[in-house]
Amino acid sequence: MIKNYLLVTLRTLRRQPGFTAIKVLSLSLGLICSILVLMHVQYTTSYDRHFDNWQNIYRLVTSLTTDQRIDSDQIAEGVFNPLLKDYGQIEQAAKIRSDNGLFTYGEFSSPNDYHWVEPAFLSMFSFDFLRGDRETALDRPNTIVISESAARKYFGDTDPLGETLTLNSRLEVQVTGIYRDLPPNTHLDIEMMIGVATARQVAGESFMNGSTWVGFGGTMAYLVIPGPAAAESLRQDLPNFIDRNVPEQQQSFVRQYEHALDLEPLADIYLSPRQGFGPADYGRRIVLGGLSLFAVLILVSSCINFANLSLAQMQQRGREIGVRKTLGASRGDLLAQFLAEAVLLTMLAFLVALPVVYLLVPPYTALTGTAFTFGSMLQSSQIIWILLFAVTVGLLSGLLPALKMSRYQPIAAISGKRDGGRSSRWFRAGLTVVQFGFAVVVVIFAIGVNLQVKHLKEVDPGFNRGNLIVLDTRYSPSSPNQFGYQAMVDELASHPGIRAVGRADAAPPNNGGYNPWGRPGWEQDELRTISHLGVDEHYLEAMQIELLAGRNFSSDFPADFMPAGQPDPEQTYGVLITTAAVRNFGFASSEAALDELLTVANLTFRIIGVTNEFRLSGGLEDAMRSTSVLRGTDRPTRSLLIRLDPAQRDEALSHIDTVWDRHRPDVPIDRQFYEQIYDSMVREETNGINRASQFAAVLTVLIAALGLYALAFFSTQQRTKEIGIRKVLGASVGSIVKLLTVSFVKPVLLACTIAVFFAWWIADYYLGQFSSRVEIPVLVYISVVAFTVLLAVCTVIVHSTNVATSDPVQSLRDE
Amino acid sequence: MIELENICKIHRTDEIETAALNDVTLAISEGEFVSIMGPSGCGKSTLLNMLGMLDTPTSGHYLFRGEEVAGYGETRRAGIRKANIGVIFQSFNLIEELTVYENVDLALLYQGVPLSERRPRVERALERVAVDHRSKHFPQQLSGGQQQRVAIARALIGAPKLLLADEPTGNLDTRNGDDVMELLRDLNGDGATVVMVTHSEHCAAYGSRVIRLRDGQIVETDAEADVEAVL
Repeated sequence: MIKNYLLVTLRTLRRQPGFTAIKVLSLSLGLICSILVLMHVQYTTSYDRHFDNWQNIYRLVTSLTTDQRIDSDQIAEGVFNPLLKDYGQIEQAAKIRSDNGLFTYGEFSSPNDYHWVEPAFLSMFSFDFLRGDRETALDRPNTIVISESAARKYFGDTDPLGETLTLNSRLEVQVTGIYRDLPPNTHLDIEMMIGVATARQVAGESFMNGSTWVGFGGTMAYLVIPGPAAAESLRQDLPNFIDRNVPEQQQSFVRQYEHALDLEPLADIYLSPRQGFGPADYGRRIVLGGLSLFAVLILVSSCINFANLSLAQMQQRGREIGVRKTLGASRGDLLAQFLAEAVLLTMLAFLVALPVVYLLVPPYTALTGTAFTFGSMLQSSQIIWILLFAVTVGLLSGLLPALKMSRYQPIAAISGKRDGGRSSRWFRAGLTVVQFGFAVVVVIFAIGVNLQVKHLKEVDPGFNRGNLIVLDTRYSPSSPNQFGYQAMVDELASHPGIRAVGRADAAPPNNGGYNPWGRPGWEQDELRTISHLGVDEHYLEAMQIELLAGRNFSSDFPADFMPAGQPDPEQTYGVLITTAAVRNFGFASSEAALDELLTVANLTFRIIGVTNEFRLSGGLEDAMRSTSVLRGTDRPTRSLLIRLDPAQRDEALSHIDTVWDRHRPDVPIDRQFYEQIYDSMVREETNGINRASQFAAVLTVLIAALGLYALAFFSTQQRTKEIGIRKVLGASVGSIVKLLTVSFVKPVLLACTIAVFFAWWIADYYLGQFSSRVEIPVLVYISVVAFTVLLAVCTVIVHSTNVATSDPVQSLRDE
Repeated sequence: MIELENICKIHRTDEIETAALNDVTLAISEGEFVSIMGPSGCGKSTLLNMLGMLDTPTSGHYLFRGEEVAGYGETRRAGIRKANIGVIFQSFNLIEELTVYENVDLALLYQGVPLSERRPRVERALERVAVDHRSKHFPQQLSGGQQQRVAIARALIGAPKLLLADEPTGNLDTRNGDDVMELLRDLNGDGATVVMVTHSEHCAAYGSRVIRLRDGQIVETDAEADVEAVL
């Protein structure tokens, strides 16, 4: 029987190669997209599961409310020791903190990220040591363990074990272990680890072991808790833990900030909204969700095509169905036949899809920042799931037509009287509506995202992003005499192509410190938590931020600047504030704010000037977190902002390089245009969804058009008799073309109307994630609808014209 | 073998009801060769389809070999059909995607006959209708007469007790038509009950009884006509 089905299927396919191609093609488009996204999802869910003990590892995380809810992946160090004391079920625990430094081995120097870790971290994550002993490697101070690739980078062919690296030209650390590189699907990006003992030798026992419950210095904590029940009970008890343990003098802060702790299972960390210290960031979930949504839309659309074309083909299969029924085929027999056909076609589509997926995996992973490969899919059991998935898709898309076709009364099927005419036509029109609806939603969304990206790139950040260089001097306050900082700055500024060299104590686009500030006499709960940055008197000029009132910092007023070392609480230092801060602190006007005082902790500042608002991360920045206070500082800062004269850009750049080489010959220069930094931020934030939506837009439109084309072909074929009669009665070609076209365009128009609403809703949700967003102009909606309708008309009109211009006798003879 | 009692078939569209069969009562015995005649649209084919359980009556009783089948669903009707009934159409209704051999084989496939048994039976059936030399051809490659012979082979292969033919010669020339009628008579001679719809008195003459329909009702059968003639 199966053989019979196959025979009929294959011969039917061969007889109608065009439709077979459209069916297979649109199904494979759907499969390609969904397989890619399935692989992506699979990859995401594989994150961190390769660690031996992954089911029992948790990250301790913090939430608190300042002026907004912060969901951080870090902890206040003060909670750590009480936690271990209170909960015996914690089997292992370790804190880590990431840092960046310049490592030197012999002649070779290169900056690298590294982590300060407590030794338990190594065994907790079962680092695979190729050399050295994992259990003892970091026990002694001044030791470092490095990954295989870090070993290659610094030591080449030399055996690194026992060799010494110099960190930031002052700290010597001995390599005591080399571990196998971590696979790409881990949230831990760890290349080098130095034990905390090393830092505690210098900075004291409180390094990464502080007692504060309110400070966050980038310290993260991991715990091993055996068994989900134990972890859950600990998690439930965390609010009580805080009540029990918070030190008295910090109680008010902890309450005010609604300080809360939570446990995150290791496997959840990659998609966690906790990324650094800031409000919840659902970026990864949004991208994954968006891609999944697109894949589902494309897949459903292609299944609809399949079903729709199968239904349209029923006309021609009617006799076969009738004959089979007459011969005693039961409904189940026919159902099985049509489903088998659908699955066979899906397998064909699958075979078409696989090589395309193979080709698309590299660009896809590049776009989404993932690292899975086609090979990894083939190796694992994933391929079986994907195959099952394809079969399911086949069954689903074949089910509807199969159900309908197998239901015919045998005689009605043979005589061609089946198909309750109107209801079936409505049904197919309904499917077309859904397809075109999808296409319109995706196209409008894609345009919306595109406009947003453009907007982000063009939005006025309140300073001049162009021709601005960010130079990382790698200055370290702990070795101030490493190079002649001031001499280098002076030399840089001496070139006519350089208009200003400003300092900022946080690397752009970092907004600087984030603390509660207030006016004298304000109560604790009146304080405003704001971002503040230490800058020098050249900063405004370098950034081209406008001074609206008062004056800039000036070396004529030494009191403007906070000195190096401990600031003096008795002194009043100068600050510039933005107009946003003027409002935030309740000053009547910029002028009114001048000479007023602001306080933070035990320090007092005098407002010497007011600038315009600016956002260092442009349209990506949450306005609440924008820097609104600039403190005066004349300390060397790690970052320099260099304003170039566009007319002498190249000369200025080579001047910067020359000066750098003169002062820091052994350190590679790290200078970037602000524009580059910003663009890459925008790219990171939007690229995946932007490209994916463009891609999805093209595909959904293509599939919908393919479907409509084939459907039009069948429908006009079905109406040949009607058309013949109309022509015999004297209908003109034009009126018949119009008749046929309008009947197709009507559902498309309906689809557009419904879809526009959904498109607006989805785009609004996505764009709402940005602090500075575009509104999609009404014209976009109108043009997309017009384009879609036009496309539908063009698709249908070809057939309509063919049929309308043929001989009336020909269409009548068909009976 | 067949007893129809007050069978009605009403086609409904939005506004109009048409009675295709109106209160038809009829009995056909085992081994008969019955011809159904009447003008176009009188309900001949509807009656035949009803007999073949290809269509369901709106009301009335249908006893097939003593079993009431009027209320049966499609699944049970399909079961009875494949065990008892063979159908021949005016337009042959061969499946174009299957070869002659496969078309005939299909009937046995649905009856679940094992492969080893099927092959000789298909070959015999094709031999009987004299198209065995065309078994690998597709229907489109055959003449009308050959196609109808294949259709007959397909109908008879399951050794049906009831053979239904809907204008079997309608699309054939006289010579091919006579061949087909001879075949039907032979099958009847072998014990099959044959019911045939035809427009042609010539064809009807092959049968043992003629039933005439008009406007969905039986107006006379041969038996009555004979009586009238005698009187």
